[in-house]
Amino acid sequence: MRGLVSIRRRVWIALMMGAASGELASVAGCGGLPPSVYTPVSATADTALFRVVVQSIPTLPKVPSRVDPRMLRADQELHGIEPNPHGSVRGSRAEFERMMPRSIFFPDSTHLVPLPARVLRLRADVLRRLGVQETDALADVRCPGATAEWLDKSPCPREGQYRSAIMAEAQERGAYWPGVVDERESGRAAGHWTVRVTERTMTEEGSATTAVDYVLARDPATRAWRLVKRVSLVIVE
Amino acid sequence: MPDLSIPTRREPQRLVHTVLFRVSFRRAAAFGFLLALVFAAACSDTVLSPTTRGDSAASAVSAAFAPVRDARAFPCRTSQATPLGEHAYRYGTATLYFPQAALAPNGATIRYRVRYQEAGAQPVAVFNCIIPNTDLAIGLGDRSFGAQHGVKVRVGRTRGGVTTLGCVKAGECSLEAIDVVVPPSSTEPEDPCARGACWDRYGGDGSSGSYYWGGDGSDPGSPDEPGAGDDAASDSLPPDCAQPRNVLEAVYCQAHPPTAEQRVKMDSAMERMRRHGGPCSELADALGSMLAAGHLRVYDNADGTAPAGGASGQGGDWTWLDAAWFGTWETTLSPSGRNLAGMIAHEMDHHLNHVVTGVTDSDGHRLKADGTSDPYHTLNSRECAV
Repeated sequence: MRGLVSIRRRVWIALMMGAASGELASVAGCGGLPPSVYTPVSATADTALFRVVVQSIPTLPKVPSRVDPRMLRADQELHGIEPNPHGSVRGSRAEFERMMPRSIFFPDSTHLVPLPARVLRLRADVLRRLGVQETDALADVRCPGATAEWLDKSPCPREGQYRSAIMAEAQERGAYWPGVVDERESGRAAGHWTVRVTERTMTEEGSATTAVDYVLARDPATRAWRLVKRVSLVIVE
Repeated sequence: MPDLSIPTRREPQRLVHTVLFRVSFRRAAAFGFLLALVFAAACSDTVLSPTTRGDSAASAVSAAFAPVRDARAFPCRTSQATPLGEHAYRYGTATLYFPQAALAPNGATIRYRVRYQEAGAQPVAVFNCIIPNTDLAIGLGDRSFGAQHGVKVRVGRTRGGVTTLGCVKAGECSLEAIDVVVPPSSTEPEDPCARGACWDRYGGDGSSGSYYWGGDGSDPGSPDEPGAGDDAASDSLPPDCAQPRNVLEAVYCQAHPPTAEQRVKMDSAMERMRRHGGPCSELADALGSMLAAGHLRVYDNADGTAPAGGASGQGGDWTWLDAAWFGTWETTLSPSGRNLAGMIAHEMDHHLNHVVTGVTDSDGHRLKADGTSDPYHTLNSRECAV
């Protein structure tokens, strides 16, 4: 908890500093957290990054994307496990959530980064200009996986499909999923930034949720972001 | 009481002796022999001592597995079972040296894994390496690890009691799961490295102790140290279930391998899939490899509260299935047209990243006639629901 408070304080300090610098600022990590946590601190930098990721989310003509403009923390919950408060209760939701970190697949408001209103407003503007609807990704999690066809699907959309997405903080590194893909250091060496996105295909039959790392690079001359690659990591359905 | 001291560069012989002391029963002896093969191969003409530094190949990997000091030096993470020790696994690092001709001109590297284990048992040892992305380097790696490609291992078809599991794939290690069998040997290996440096078993500059003991996370150089070994913690399998260090380790530990009854049902489903042939046979083989590696886990969801019935690493090597698929719908089709074999095909399609533009969405789920996504079915799940 202390570490969490500390890092939130650092995020806010970085937010304040970034408003002046206009850059992506780094926030030094604390013990037990990833070595560095970065957050896009200037509205301009954030908006540019946000736009590239939104435009890169795969859609189908009948399955448009809907994006939550809020931002998930990129702390260790995105990479590690969440303590199971109920012990090893087999067959329970608690156990499942220990298996799949809540912040990736079942995020709630405690996993959100407190973004300045201006950043959120600019993100909403980006979505509007791109013709992408907003969604409440934290509500979308209530639509259970389609593979569990015996579960109540009433929280799922009654008609029409969409791909719900919510992003986490950008981090200066490559893609990372333990044991599957670990390009953190090579990505960092290449100047890449990675945004982890929780994408959830919402259908009447249920959802399919994918954790995806979007690896991006910024042209030093034009300062424009470009997508280097999109790495699908795990699907929960 | 096991010796938990961390060997230093000044104590090379002691390290080797420590390893051999621990490798004392049959299975472990087999590992020791295999390790010796690695050392021996590493000492051969094809694996060189470090003489140069700083070319692109090394720099491409040095950041990921720091510090690598030589252009021809490539790192491996190792996990070695210690059945007599206090901890289940001993984790370490090692460096493999390749000849200049084996390096990729553009410095490209791939992940290369070798896993030694008996079918259905925990691995005896795992090597996770970054090596040059060239055929020559892969061949040298195969030779070093005693591997022979092309021998498919299916469940129950291991020979000699020890199965070598490995995979080589550009960019990431995932799909070509495993393919060789290495018979065990009770012959205690000599210490090939006594003849001269071959593997830099100490990694780095030796000062941080690149061998460390898994388990309590308190040892110097443990993978829990920020920036020191979190890669190793992730990549060295199997995890220490007393302290899983990331979500996939937790998954591995939390869910359970198929029970004997579930295993029979799964074997039966795989057999039906193989008889059906085509992609179903390939998918059954993929599951067989995953089972052999112990990476197919079953999640009990009897109270129906878990919000998913299956999950899979896309391009990764982990899959979970809800136990419900072993019940009513083992062979009977569910309302959505799925059964156990269909679900095996479904998750293996995800595992193998079967995505086809115009046929599936970006996750690999089939498109319906109206262009929307069908989350029930992947490329082959309907055909393979046999």
